Amino acid sequence: MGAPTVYPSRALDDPRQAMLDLLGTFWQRAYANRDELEASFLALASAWRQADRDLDEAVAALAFETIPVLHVREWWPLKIRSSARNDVNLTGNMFGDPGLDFGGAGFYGDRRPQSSFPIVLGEVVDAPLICNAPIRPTVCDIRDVDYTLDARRGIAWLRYDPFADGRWVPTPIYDDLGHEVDRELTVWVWHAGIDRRLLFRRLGYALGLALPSTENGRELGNLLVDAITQGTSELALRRFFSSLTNIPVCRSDGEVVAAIFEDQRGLVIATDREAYRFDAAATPVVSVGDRLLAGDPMTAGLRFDVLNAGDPPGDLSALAVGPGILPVDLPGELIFVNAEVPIQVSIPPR
Amino acid sequence: MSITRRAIGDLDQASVQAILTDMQARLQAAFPGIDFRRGVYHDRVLYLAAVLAAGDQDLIDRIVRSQSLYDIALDPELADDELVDRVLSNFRVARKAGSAAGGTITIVMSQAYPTTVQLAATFTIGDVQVRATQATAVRLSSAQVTADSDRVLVRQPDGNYAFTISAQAVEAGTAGMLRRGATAVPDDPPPYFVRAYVQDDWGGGADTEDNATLIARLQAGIAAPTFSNRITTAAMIVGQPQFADIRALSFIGAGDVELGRARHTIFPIGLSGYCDVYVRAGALPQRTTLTKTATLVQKTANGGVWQFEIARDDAPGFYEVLQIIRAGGDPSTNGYGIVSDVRGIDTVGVASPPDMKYPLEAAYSAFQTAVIQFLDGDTPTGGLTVSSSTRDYSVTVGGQVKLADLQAYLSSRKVTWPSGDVLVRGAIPCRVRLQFNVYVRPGTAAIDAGAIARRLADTVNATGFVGQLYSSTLIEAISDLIPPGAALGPIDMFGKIRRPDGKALYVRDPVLLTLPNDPGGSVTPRTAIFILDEADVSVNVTNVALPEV
Repeated sequence: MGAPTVYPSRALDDPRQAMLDLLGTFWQRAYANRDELEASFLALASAWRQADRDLDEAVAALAFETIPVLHVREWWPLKIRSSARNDVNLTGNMFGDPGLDFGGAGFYGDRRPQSSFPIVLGEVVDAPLICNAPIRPTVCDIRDVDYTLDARRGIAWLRYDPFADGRWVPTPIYDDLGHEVDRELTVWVWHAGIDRRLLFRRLGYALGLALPSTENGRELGNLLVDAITQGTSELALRRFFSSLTNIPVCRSDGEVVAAIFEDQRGLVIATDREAYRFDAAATPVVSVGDRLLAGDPMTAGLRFDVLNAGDPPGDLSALAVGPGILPVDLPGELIFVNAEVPIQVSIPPR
Repeated sequence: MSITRRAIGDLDQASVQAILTDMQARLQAAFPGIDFRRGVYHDRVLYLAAVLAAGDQDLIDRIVRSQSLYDIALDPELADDELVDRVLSNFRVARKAGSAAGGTITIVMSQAYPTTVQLAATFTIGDVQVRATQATAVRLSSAQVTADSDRVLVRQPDGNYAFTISAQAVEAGTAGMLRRGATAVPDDPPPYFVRAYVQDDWGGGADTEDNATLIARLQAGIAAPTFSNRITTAAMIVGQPQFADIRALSFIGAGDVELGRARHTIFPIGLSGYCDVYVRAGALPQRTTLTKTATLVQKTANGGVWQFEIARDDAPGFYEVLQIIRAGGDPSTNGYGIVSDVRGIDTVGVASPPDMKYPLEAAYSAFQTAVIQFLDGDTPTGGLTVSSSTRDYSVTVGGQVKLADLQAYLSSRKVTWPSGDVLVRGAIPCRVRLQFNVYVRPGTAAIDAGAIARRLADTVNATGFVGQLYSSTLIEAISDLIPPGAALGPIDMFGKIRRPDGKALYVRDPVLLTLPNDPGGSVTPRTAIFILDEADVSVNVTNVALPEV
């Protein structure tokens, strides 16, 4: 779970007073155009704030566990044009879109019926907020509320047309003859996430893995580091399957389940140390007050059975022994049902 | 070198402009009536602030990139030894310096004459300069020997005399890994000099590691050196100084179809606890010459069939017999043809040997033995007695080295895991031959076929257990050796695989050479490697005429 967003979280978020304090009494008391001065500070602080963030990322990248998954830009401007709503390169059917069966109604490249407006994200892969200005914005659209991210297309689908909304101020675009041919405006993405493949560049290359720039990718990379530096433990395997399936397991020994509830994004199981998020359809297998061990699953989606001591789980119907274990020339699998069966011994005639 | 702030004039102007634009937009939002795109405030405040901010971002970005060997390898500006060493230290890896190859040279004289080869006497072998590593006094008989470095002249079947000296390449690097039989030219020949040649394949030559090699070692660097998973076990092995230069390892374990040794029980299921370790010790299999006493076992119209045994410690895990000649004979001559090659197992005196039931399972391991029969058409057999008469022969075998040492290390009680059964085997060899045309137009710079062959051999021999060899990989490797105006034709890639049972498998393709999946014969991409001797590269330079226009 990410930390809550707090404003201001540091002096550079609102640097006006802090910077005036540094400048001395003339600028604080005698200089007449104080609002201009403060605006200058806000502008200059944007660059310093980005440098401060970059430095934090550089420090975080020193440890494999905290390698930043994405590089975050404080504000990232994107130019969009009114004509984008009719651009089939953006709005056309793509392979893999739902409802596109072969021979069905939809065809690749045909324009999809949609009421949303496409914003091409370019390098940006995460966009928590989209605003109409970096300072004093009058529009502040929220991801998953006002727009959704389409990672396959690299597009944010805004639920309304900004060129038909008076809060946005487009600029006309003219051709050589002076005719207006399009309109353009700038949308500002707050805390734009840009994939610089830092996880691969810092860790994945050394492991020979093209790790995806995701939290689970980082978890997988660190799991592998743990496995090769400490050996492959059962806990490492449990965390491995957790990362693969995106189903969390308990992070540390002794966590006590404090709450189980659902919000609009799915199931949440909170312990006294962590809050774990699951799919809305997940079924909890823990109760409030349970004390957990690291690696314990909390929903029915993941279960770990240790096959030893001749005590297989009751709902395991059979074990299949396949290639690699069987002789090379024996095709198929050998099935051992989880039941008592009579032994049949046949002795070939001499 | 430490990373320093870049000069303002060297900053990326696009970065400066992006920051400037951002600041302008913010001010414009606050004061829509003022134009911040020009004027004193723009020039003296905003622009300079943007320059300084861009300098900060550039500095931070280079610091982040300097922490990754991947980024350093891509950016010549960061290719600094100190920076690389800092990154390597995080992975407990240090760059290995190159080392000079060494070995022996045989010098042939026409007369038995006492002489001396001085320390550092120089020879030229191909493009490689080598020098004697000790002063050698050549004696006529063993009675005259007074020092370990003295050598006695040995009479050869052709009437000449020969002695050997130790030598080492002047330059460090794999270029000094000279091959058996290569002609050596002394700068100062001894009296009655006839010829000189490399006695056996030289060893010990290594290039200083480049970044690509280092990246491949990072994973093993941080791994715990212990018998656990494949990565940690590999780290344990290459962490030992005597095994540090092993090129590739493949571990065949529980559930792997190649592991026939695990299916010896009456129940047809593979047991766990077994592990076969396949080894690529060096670029090429090492050729070793043994002197074996063979016994006449049969007389034929074409000559005598002779037999000798290669014991398990003679050449542990060798692939095949490459040449049989009379003892002391000229290695440049063709050898006698092999009639029979029967492998066996010898575990006598070995405490807790690996579980091996069939010779196929022990093939290319330190427990392998062989009985070789060959036809000698030169030696008259009229007065000889079958099963009694003997002759000495020089037998050259080729195979991976260090197999016996690695077997002993992994089987030692202090190292092996208590319930484990480890067998070390030489990687199954797929000897590759390449043939292609280079088309050149008039005026094209000369094609250095030797350099192309060496580069191709280096590229192929750098691979481990990959299973596939792409011609595009080879083309990329030699692209800088193909001058403008020249063009490559398709590469005929041919591979001969020697299965542990002696059967030959062949693969051939101009695009992709794929190793077969033959687990019953122990040949799969997890057990076999590609091997390319630069002598097996055929570069045909073809002139193409341009039409007159």
